[in-house]
Amino acid sequence: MIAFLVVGAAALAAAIGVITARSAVHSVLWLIVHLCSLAVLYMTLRAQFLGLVQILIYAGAVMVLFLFVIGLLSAQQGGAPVPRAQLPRQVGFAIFAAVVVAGAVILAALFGAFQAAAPSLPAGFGGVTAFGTVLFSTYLLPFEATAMALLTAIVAVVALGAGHDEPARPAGLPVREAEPEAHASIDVSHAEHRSELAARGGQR
Amino acid sequence: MTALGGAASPVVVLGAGAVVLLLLDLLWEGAQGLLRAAALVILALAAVAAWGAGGAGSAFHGAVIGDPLLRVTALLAIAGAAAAVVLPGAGAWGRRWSAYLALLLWSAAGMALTGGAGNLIVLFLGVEILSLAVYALTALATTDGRAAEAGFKYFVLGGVGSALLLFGSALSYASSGSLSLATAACGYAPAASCAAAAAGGIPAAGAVHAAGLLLIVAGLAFKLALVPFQLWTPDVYEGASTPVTTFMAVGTKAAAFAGLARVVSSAFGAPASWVAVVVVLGVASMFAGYLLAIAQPGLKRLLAFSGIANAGTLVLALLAPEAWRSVAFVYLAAYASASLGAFAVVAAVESGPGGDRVAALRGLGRRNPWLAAVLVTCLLSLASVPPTGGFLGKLLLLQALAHAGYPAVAVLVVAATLVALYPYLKLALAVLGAPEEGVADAPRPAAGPAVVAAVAMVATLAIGIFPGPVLHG
Repeated sequence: MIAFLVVGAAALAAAIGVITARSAVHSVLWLIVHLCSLAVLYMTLRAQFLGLVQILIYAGAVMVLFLFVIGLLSAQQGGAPVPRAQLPRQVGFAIFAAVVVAGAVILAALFGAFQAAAPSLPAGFGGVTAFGTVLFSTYLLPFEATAMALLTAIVAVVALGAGHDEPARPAGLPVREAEPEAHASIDVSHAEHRSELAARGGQR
Repeated sequence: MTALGGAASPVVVLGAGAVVLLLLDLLWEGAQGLLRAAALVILALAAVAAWGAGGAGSAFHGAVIGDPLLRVTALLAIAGAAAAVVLPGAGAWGRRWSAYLALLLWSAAGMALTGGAGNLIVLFLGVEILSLAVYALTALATTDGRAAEAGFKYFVLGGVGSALLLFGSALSYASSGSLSLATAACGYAPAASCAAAAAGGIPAAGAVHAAGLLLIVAGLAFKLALVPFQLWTPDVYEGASTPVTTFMAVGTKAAAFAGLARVVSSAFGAPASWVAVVVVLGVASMFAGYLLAIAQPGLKRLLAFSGIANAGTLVLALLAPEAWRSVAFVYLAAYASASLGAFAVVAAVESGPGGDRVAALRGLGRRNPWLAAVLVTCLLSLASVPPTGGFLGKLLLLQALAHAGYPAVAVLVVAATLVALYPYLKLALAVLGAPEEGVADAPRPAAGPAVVAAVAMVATLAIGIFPGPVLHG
């Protein structure tokens, strides 16, 4: 219980840090703290596998990706802090949304909406052994199908990014902007994209 | 073929075949003809596997169900993919040809997986595999800026659909503790078929479960392009290259319908509110699709709205507790073959001046009688005129609705069919009428569309006259 309170407070503090940090890099660092706290909470619930995966995937891989993207995008501004309040009245809306969501969750918990799903758990539930056993027996097919979905996505991205044989229209849409050649073909039209793409090209 | 995984064998053949194709591309250095032949061989193998899988029973702890619904879905997906391999425009992919073929095969694998889904995870994965591949296929066309726009639109809206499906699945699981599709609707609808589930300790859940089911249905309605989730359809159909549109029209429809059928068919004999969801989605799609089809300037857009309307009509079949299977098989097969034929004609004429504009089709009967015959047959089938498959599908649907105690819905279907006569017959008369001044002769169709068109026309008529084999899947 003490561990829950301490780690929960850390998670909350880190979450507030994410939205109040002036620099995007600091936000990401706070988010890493938050995700690691969640991982500890999972482990206190005896879901070791989920906790480890949380650290590996979210705190590790996804956050590195975030930092990488921020590094690419903000190199232009030299990492300057973003000015506050870019959206009008965003604080009010955010507090309103937070109260509504929190109220809904608390009400649902009070009225027992999720009670039904709590039959007695089998021994070792949430552990690596139990998870692995289920993953490679009952859920073998979904596991393999996930591999197929990822492979499909990889081939799709490579095919879309591979460029064209014949000179095609310049990249005018976000789908195409991911192409490495995108900044080489901007000089034809789409003036509104020119400055943006040129900025990205300059970084490279 | 059962050695390959029983009910999952078509998925295995298609998924592994796509990898083989990518490797062969390295070996043959992009020889287009050879790769095309290899893709057709893989599709033929998959068709054999799908035929066997239809009677294989469930596999992988109930994750895949090998029943006639899987067989029909997989065969339609394979037929759509085969058409997309041979139709012209499919050859213009340059060095991305092997990726195009591989994505087609993976998408077909996703469709087969959706058709046989036994639990919510497999349903989501099947829908996701087919969607990811189709987004990319839509955006791959290089010649046209509309393709990128269509691909992006489809990606964003399709992503919303997938998110709804996933969120709904999570709520359904959280409230019922079961991922199985056989019992997915039980918490909400304690029908007789769910007695076993209740005995197995799955508690009847209330509002959370209902919300989950509604979100699942909404997610699948996105993929099936039912009103009010249809906004992406006309632009995507028009923007994608014709082979991809053909594949989408045939395969995605069949797969999304099969997924929807697996979710909701266990819910019937159920409270009226649940029935209302299906009726509203179906009737709205039917009327909106047919009414909007009237004013469309191009054949591809017209077929997009026709797809919306047909999906709506087909969903109504789910109101009949047991009879929906044979109705759906005939209706799906008839819709698929009519669409294949119509899109093959689009592929044959769109390279000419005027593209697929209705004005460019005027007088096709004088210039190219064979193409015109195919197009008119397919339009008549879509308009449910005997002796085509479309007529038989509609007739079976009306019969099933009347037997299931929904005569009012049957009357609405008849009314929508009367509305549908107008756009289809107007186009058919234009095709058969005199050509406009100054329109060049239609180009002679290549072998690909000619074969697809001929097969589709024969199938459309055969389903109407000898429906026996289709009736039982």
